[in-house]
Amino acid sequence: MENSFQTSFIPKKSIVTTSVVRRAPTKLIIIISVGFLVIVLVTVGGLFLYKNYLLKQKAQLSSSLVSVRDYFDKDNISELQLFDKRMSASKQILSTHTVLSPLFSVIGDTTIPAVQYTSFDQQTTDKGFFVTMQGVAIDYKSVALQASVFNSSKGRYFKDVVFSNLSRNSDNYITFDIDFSVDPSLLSYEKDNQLQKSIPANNQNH
Amino acid sequence: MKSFIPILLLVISVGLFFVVVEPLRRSVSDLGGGISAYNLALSNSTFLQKTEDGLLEAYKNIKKEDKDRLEHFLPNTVDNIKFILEVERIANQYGMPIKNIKFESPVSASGQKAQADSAKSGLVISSDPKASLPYGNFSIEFDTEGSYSSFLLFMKDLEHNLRLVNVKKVSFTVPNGKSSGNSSSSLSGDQYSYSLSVETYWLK
Repeated sequence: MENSFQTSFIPKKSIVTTSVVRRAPTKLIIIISVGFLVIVLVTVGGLFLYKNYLLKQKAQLSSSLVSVRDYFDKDNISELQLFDKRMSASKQILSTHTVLSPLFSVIGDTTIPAVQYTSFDQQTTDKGFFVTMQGVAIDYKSVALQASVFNSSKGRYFKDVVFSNLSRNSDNYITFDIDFSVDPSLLSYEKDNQLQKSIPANNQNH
Repeated sequence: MKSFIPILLLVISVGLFFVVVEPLRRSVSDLGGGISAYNLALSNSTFLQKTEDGLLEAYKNIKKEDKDRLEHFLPNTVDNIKFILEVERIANQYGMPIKNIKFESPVSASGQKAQADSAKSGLVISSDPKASLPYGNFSIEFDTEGSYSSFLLFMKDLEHNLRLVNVKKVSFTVPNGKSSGNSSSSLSGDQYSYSLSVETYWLK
């Protein structure tokens, strides 16, 4: 006959089982926490070592940069900068520089023998090159002939040519005023300079 | 007591992480950035060294005479007296005496005059556009006399002088005796009187 009589209310078996279940998580938590601490400590050590390595590298690079900086000679750099500044300023000036000599040459070529200029006044402004002259001609026909020369291909460099104040003077000559502007291409320094250089070369060829 | 130890270890670990690891990580990261900048600067400096060497080589290959010519073309200072003497020397070559020389001091010509004028009038004026240029202008006006052929040669010489000269204004009149027979002028028939305004440049 089965003995189902219970002598005590304390469940002995269950007590043993419970004590095993409680110990396992405690151990695991300890292992995890110790592991976590070890990881943190290793990370601290690693970072500390890496930081020291980087500091040394930075110091090396810094000294390399100092030696490279010493390589650049300040005087040389200043000299090069000044030369560069002078070159670019010269180019800037030459690009807008003009000469008046070709103007006199073209005026000489376009003047007919019956006309003489008695005064010349030239002004350079931001708007261009303006010339005012006074002249004397033998007769009105000569003035008209001179005007036609200005309108021909010979006078292509002269724009807005205006004859004014025509009158006969005491010597029976015709006096007049003339105003015009000058084509800037005639006064180009670069063009004139090239022409000046080509003249000796041509002379040598002949 | 046993359960207290893992909690203590965890607290220490977390504390170490926030107090030591994180600041260390940040400083290491900053250091890494700094080192990258150093490396970039070093590689740039290598490029700059090569560029400087190339430029110096090119500069040394320019003849000294050419460098001197360029310096004479655009000098470091206005040297106005030297410029006037140079114009006079060229004019004398063609027997054309220089008279009535007028010029403004280079400083007042380049902006201070405008500032003084605006201060007097109390007006605010825009700054001189020439002030921003890398070069300055110096103008002189003078009168001279001579034949027309000498004047043409003088003009050519002046315009192709080594120090760049810009002829801004020219005016001359034929003496009365030449055109109308009235010999009231002191100049002989082929001698004209000229007024010129010329300017030169210098590097600021």
